Formats: sequence, structure tokens, C-alpha cells
Amino acid sequence: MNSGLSPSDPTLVAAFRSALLHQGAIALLMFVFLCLLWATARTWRPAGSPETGGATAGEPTEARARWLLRTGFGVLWIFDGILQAQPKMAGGLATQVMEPIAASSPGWVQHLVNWGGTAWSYHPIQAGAASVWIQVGIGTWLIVAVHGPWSRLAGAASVTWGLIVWVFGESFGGIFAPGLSWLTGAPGAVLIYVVAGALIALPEGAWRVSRPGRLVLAGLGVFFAAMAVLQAWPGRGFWQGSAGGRPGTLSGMVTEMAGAPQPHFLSSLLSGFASFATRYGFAVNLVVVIALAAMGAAFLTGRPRLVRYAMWSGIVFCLADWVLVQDFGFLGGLGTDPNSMIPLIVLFSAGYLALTPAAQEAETPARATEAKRPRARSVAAAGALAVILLGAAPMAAAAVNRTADPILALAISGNSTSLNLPAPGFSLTDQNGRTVSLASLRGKVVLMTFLDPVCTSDCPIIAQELKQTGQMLGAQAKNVELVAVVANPTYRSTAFTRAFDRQEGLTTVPNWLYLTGSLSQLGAVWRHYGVAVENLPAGAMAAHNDLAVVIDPAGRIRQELSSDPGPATVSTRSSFSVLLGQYARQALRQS
Amino acid sequence: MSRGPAPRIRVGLALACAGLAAGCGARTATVAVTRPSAVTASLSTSLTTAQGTWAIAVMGGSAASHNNFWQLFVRRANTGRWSLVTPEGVADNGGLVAAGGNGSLVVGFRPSQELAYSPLATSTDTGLNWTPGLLDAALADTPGAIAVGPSGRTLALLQDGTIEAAPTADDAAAGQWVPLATLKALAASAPGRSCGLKGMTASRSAPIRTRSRREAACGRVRPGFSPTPAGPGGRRD
Repeated sequence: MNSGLSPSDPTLVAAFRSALLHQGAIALLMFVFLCLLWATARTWRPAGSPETGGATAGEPTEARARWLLRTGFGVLWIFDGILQAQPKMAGGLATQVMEPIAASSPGWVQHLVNWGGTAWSYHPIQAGAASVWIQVGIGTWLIVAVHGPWSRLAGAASVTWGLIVWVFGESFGGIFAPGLSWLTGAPGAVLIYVVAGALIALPEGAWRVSRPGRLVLAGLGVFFAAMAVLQAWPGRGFWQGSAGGRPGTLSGMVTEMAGAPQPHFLSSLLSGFASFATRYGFAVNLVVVIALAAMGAAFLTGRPRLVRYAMWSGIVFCLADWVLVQDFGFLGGLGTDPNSMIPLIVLFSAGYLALTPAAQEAETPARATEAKRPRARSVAAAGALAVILLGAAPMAAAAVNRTADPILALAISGNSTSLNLPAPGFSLTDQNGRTVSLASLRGKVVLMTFLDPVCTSDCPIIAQELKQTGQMLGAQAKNVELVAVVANPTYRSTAFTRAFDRQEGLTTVPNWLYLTGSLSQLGAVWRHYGVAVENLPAGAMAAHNDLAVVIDPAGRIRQELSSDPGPATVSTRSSFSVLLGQYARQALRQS
Repeated sequence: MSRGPAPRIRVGLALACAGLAAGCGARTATVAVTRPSAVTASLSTSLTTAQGTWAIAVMGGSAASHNNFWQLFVRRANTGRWSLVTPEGVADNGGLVAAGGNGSLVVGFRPSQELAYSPLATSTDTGLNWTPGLLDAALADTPGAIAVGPSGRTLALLQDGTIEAAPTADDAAAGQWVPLATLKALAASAPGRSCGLKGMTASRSAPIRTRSRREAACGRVRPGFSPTPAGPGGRRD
């Protein structure tokens, strides 16, 4: 599913940064435009008019619980969006985040996540940028849209995107994997965003009574109780600080977290807690189980006083877990969110506020809430929606294309060299025994590379990339010759080129030529094109550099690039084919 | 030590004694003894020809790993020293198989990674020089996958159980192989049916009498029978 490239690959990082800057500039222009629009509207309407929103006099009061959910999760989405802008995200999310999280889940989860990861790895720049702007947009939308349909829609958007992230980014929060624990973020931080989004999407009138609060707290009560049972369940390793000289489940997790890149004092803090948990594993788990059970019970009672105590102790408990076990959740360069504790605090605090609505909230007439919508906020919400579209549109457009972005090939091969040199001539024998010279190919673009017919690694992959290039070129393929020259001093007869063609399914490709010749003929071609070929000592393949050249119809070399397939994943293969296809079209235009 | 051709030589196909034994394994305890243990442990093997003693060793660890590489050594009859003579030009991570005969040694490269067929290399000067050859199919994962007869006729046991033959060394070099027998056909034959043939693990080109062939096919071999003895070209140790 992955691109196989390093997340820190400078080409990917630079392209990601460039995409973010471009889209950020467009977002800024949109913001300026909206400001101008708003200023113009204010000039035309009398000051203080409730419709303009210039004053807050007519604005209805929003329930405190809803306000907390809306602004809290709005800020969280924006924070997550900023985290998505980290340089390693574009190249690393699929390989370093999605794939490892899914690895311990059942096969069907891995299959589903792999599908998403492949889609990401085909277009890592667009996908990375889309994640940034969608999350920033949703967060902004939640914050600026206080009332009315716009606000409720923001909640619905939060639910939709949250579910996507929960499934693909968190592999369903790991609920199908072993080792599930509230301490480490079960059942997935983003699932809490989803719940919050659903609550925001409720009609505003629902918040004037304590029922939503009771429901939220009851749900959380059941959740905490279930997590307490899970935590107490024997045989999962949480009761042991260590087992057989190895760290127990919790101390092992904390030790692993301590190893992530982060400031030294944080890793020391975690290491210290890991040692403590190793020594007092039973006691630590007992405290966790009791705390979870107590919070669950308190929330289930629905009594404001008990809930208040549970809320404050829950805040302290969650913050302790956030620091000592979850390690803040977002460190290390590939953290996508602050994990589950902060969203959980916001959620149960909102539940408490909803349980005890302020007097003025209960008195606010529902009709007034719906009727007096400040237009400024609607405009701002529309702006936030535009930001979401700003990120989503390029990704949607890219996703329609079933081939990978050429940026992957460029990242592997380095930038190709544009040339305008006469291609050295040759006269060799094709796989069918016919003589083929470069001159005989005049009038066509020649995509030429050097392949070892008994190669066990790169050459078959490069051949497939060329074959796919031919398919991508469609009708233009008739003006393009896909040419490979044998790159093995020993295994070079036409018997081998034919065997290679059969192996790679190239026998039916009409514009495929696999050329060979005597050692002196091949040596001359290798020398003229700068390809070093030699037999290596026993047990190794013949060595040769992976090189491809694009020769235009006039016989001039237009591009020279490394054809090293790199990690040779599905996406990088596709990417190379796209890149070669682009060069072929370019050479056709230049002729 | 090579043995001279027997008077009534007929180059034939000796069917995979051990493979047949595997198919008939339930019938006698004796058959189980004849199973070639080298197949399950490693493809490393050795053989002796008139030119010297040959040994194939797997380097790097488990035989199943693509990170391994295989090496061919020879102790020439006239020197008594071991030399590394692995043919160049092909990665041998999939394994090497070798067979001696008619004054030459044929080495086959088992496919690995992206390579799906088996290049060959033949030497007539104890590994100093090699001539490339081609088998446009995958050699079976067994030390006895290649056999060379006294006339130079070469047999190859493929992964799918087919046995192919190249009449001469030149044919083998040019990739001119013809199917000789298939697992399906052998299983459908009377001896194959009688013992429930399931697979083959070696080919052999050897002077062999019809009677002994049938004995081997049915697994009624005497205790201690070596499953992979080479023919007149050499003897497997």
C-alpha cells in the first residue's frame, strides 16, 4: 500500500510544502475577499442592524455545553490540521502511521486500510494537503458557525471526516486488535470527535434541557465501566509490571513511547513512569481500574454533584494518562492528533454542562435562536467550507486518475536531465533475430533502457514500467518504441531475450524491442550511453546502472534519468510509467 | 569416482525415487527411510565426477531466505584443494543444482524473486570457464532437479512436476527442451496409480533396467537405497 519512500525524502517534502504554500495563498486570498465582502455589506447597511451581525445584541445565547463542544473540537480539528502539515506527513502517513496501526488488526481491516493507504501513496502530496485543509476548514467552521444550519452542518462534517479518519487512519481505533486499552487511546481519539460532531449537529433547542447531558454522561458511564472491565480482565498483561524479565503490557507500551523522538525531559519522565509501572504493575492497574469504574459509576448516576467530582478527578486522571502514557500523542514528527484524553475531557465536561444548563439557556426561545442568525458568521462559515474544498478538490481530481503521481518517480530517480544531444547510433539484434539500428527507428520516440535478461530484481520491474507506459500512451504508443538493450556480458543471446519477454508478458507488445548482439557490439552501446556492465564475483547478478533515455524522432536524446525502480511498490511503478509517458509526449511535441 | 557405462545401457528416465516414496510413504516403513533428508534441510549437496568433487553450499543462513546465496566449490582431482567456481552472471539466491556427466558439469540456477526461469551454466574444465544455457522454466526445488546422461542428454525436473529433456548440451544451451513426462501422466500410469504418486523430487538419466525402474517407482526398494544416485556421470554423496 505504501510508496516505500522515506517520509523525509526531500523531493516529497519540498513538493508538500509547495502545495501547502500555494493552497495557503489561495485561502488567504479568499479570506481577504470575504473581508472585503463583509466590509462592503457593512457600509451598505445601517450599523447595529441585527442582520449584519455588527452587534451582538440580537444574538441568541448558545448552550454552554454546545459552545464547549463546538469550540473545543474546533480547536482540536485545527490543531490536527496543523499536525498534518508536518513535513513527513505526505510521504510517511501511509507507511509510518496507517500501516503499523493496521498491522495487528484482522485481515479485512488491513485490506481496507491498505486500500486507503494505496490511494494516499498514489497522490501523497494532494492527500497530505487535503488532510490539512479539510481539518483546518472543519475546525474553523465549527468555531465560526455558532448557530443555525451552518453550525449543525459543521457538526455533520466533523462526523463524516471523523469516521473516515477513524477507519483509515486509526484502523477503527484498534477495536479489532488485541491489547485494546483506554490508557492508550481506545476506542480511537477520532471516534470522540465523531460523537461530539453528532452532538453539535443536534437541533439547538435540544440543549435547553438536561436530557442530552444525561444521555452523554450515561453513554460515557457505560464506556468507562466497560473500559474498567477490559483493564481488569486477566491474562492481558496489565496486572503484571513485568513477565519473564520483560516489561508488562503497560510498562512495555510506555517504554516504547519513551523511545519516540521528543525532548529529553519528556522521555526521562516516561522512562521513570515505565520503571514505576514495571515495579508496581499490579498497583498501577488497580488504581486505573478503580478510577475508571468510579468515573463510570458517577456518570451513570447522573447526579450533578457526583458528576462534578467525577469530572474534576477525571480531568486530573486523563491529563496524567495523556502525559505519562500517551506521551501527548502528537510528538515525533508523525503524530496526527493529541490522542484521546483531551477530546474525552472536553466531551465529559460538556456532558456535565449539559446536565446543568444555565438559567438563561433554558429561557432562550427556540424561535429566536433560529431566526436571528448573524450573517457575518454565515459568511465566515462559507469561507471555512471553501477552505475544505480547497484541499479536497485537488485530491478528488487526483483520485479520479488511476495512475500515480510522477513525483514519486522523481523522488526516487532524482531530477532527470534535459538534454539535446545526438543519440549514439547502434545496430543490434532484436528478440526475433532481426537487425535493428537506431537509424531504423527514426521518426519515432525511443524510450530506451538497459536490462539484464536473467536479473532477479530491478530489470523485470523496469520492463513492466515500460510496458505500462506503452499502455498509458494509448494511440500515441504507435509513435513510440520501447527499447531495451541487454545488460549482461554472459547471458545475452536471443534465447534469453525471448525467455525474458515470455516471463514479463512482452511477447505481444507490438512496440517492444529487446536488443542484443556480440559482446563487442553491446560493449560499444554500453560505453556510448554511459552504462557500466560487469560480472560480479560468484553468486551475484551482473552489475549495471539503471538508466533510461528518451530519444526524440530526430534521433536526439531529450531526457536522461535513472530508471532505478527504488522500492518498486505499486505506486512507484505506476509513477515511473507516468513520468516516462510524460517525457515521451514531450519528445513527440518537440519533434 | 565415475563408473563406466554398463553393456546394456539405455538412457532412461529414473523416476524420482524419493518422490515416489513420498507418494507411497504410507505403505512401508522402508520407504520413509529412503526419503532424501537433504531436501528438507538444505539444497546443499555434493557430487563426484571424473574431474573432481563438487560441493554446493548455501551461505547466509536459512535455505528459505532470499538473502542467502549459494556457492559451488570444486576439489579438482589433480590438486586436492577446494576452489570457488560459482558461475558468474546470475544471482543464485534461489539455489543451485548441479549434475555431472559426459565430462562436464551442468549447473542450474533456481528462480528467485522476479526471475521465473532457470539459467544454466556448463563447464568442461572444472569450473574455469562456463557456457551459458537456458531452461525456460523453473527448476524444481530439489538437488536432483538436473540430470545429465552419458551422451550429453540433459533432463530437468520442473517445479510443476514436468520432466523436460534437451538431447544435447548445445540444445540445453539454446533453450531447446522438450517435455518428456509429466507428473499427471506418471500418476495416471499403472505404477503411479498403484502407489498413489503425489510428487517427484529428482530426475535421473542413467542406464537402468526396466525392472529396477518399476521397483523404484513402487517404492519397493531395499533398505538403504540412495534416492539420488547419479548415473554413469557421477555419484552423489
